[in-house]
Amino acid sequence: MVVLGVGLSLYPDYPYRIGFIPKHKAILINPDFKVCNKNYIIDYYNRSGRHTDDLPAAYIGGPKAIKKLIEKDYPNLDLKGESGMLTIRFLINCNAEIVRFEILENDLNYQKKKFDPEVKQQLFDITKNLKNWRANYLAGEYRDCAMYLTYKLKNGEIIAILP
Amino acid sequence: MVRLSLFFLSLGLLFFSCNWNDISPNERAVFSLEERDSLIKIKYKEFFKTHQETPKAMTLLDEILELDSTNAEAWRERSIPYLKRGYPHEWFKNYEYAIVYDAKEWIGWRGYNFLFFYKDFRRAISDFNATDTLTKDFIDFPQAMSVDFLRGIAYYGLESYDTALFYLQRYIDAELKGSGGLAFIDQNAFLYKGRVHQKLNNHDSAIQAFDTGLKIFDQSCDLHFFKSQSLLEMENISKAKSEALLAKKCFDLGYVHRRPYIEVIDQLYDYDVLELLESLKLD
Repeated sequence: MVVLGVGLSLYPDYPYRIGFIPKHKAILINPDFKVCNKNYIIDYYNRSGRHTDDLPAAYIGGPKAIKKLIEKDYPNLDLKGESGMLTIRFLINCNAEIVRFEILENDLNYQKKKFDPEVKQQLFDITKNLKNWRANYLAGEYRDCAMYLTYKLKNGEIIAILP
Repeated sequence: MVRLSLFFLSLGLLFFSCNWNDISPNERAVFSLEERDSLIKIKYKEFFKTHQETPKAMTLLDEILELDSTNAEAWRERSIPYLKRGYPHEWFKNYEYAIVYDAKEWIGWRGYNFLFFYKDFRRAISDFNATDTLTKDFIDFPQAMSVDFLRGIAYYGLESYDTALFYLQRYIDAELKGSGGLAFIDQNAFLYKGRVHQKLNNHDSAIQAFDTGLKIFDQSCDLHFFKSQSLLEMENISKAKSEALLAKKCFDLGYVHRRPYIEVIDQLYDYDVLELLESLKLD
């Protein structure tokens, strides 16, 4: 049985749906922030297709606003000349709080790499302190969902924040 | 009663005997090509009824690839859940196989992903050029967008403005010639054409481009917004004000350039529109 949004699976190679962050594998920051319905965790962009007021989850103001915030609030950010894509995946719960993180590190050729730990930590700290999230609103209710931010770095500069 | 139980037991056995895992690798290897293809068809049918990121869908794709490891479409399908959920290496690795086995079909689509999901303009252009070379007799439309339009956006992202203009114009000309009118052109081609002119400080040409776009869709927030910016640069304050107000109206109606999953280049948000109004003392 596979329930949309949960990791319950009969398929041995895929214990979870792609993108699901199981609690036991996640970096947990604030234990008070919990998912509202552990049996129904969707993706940030999911829409029902039937409700015109559905809204995808997002950082309010988009990646552009995150970039502006970093420029303003983190003038001493030192990315040590790093290049690559640091992806921080997490869940946004129905109260628009972020929980359960995982970090993926890639170079600009889409291969795995290890970032300088301080660079990783700084970008992780920025991400976990972002407050202005909107939860996914689907079929008349705010839902828990998976989201990610990728910081694309070139020679120590943030050249893009994805998606 | 015993007879009835035996009947249900045999039904169960029959069900399990159809399970893919019960067919040994040796048995799978002796399928004829026809048998293999019809099995793949059945599995695809099931796959398309399933949410693409689920264990069931991913397992079905693995089974298809076990039957035919050169199935480019299955490799591509296998990459997409990773693309949408922020796993660059998994997306790339899977998509590479789709290119190896059918570059003609899938390389343009990968360019689209590089462009919009990764803002990887150089790789996007390289894929768009490749798809053009592989299919010389027609203009490719990966993900329903002209490859010239896509190249125009990618060169804009790369700040190669002259080349961006070249491809945007080539897309516009081809559409005007082929389909029979402005209405068939994506108004955002004029948005980016105007943006290129703005970057080159050609505000007259920018306004011309935005105006043409507005002939296609006069409620585009973006076209009004950037037109207002150019008018402001040219110190035509009263027209800049009226365009800014139209931009606000269109924004409130939701007519603003967006794409699912990602932030587009130069995407406008409410704070952009409010800042413009403020700069024109319209707040």
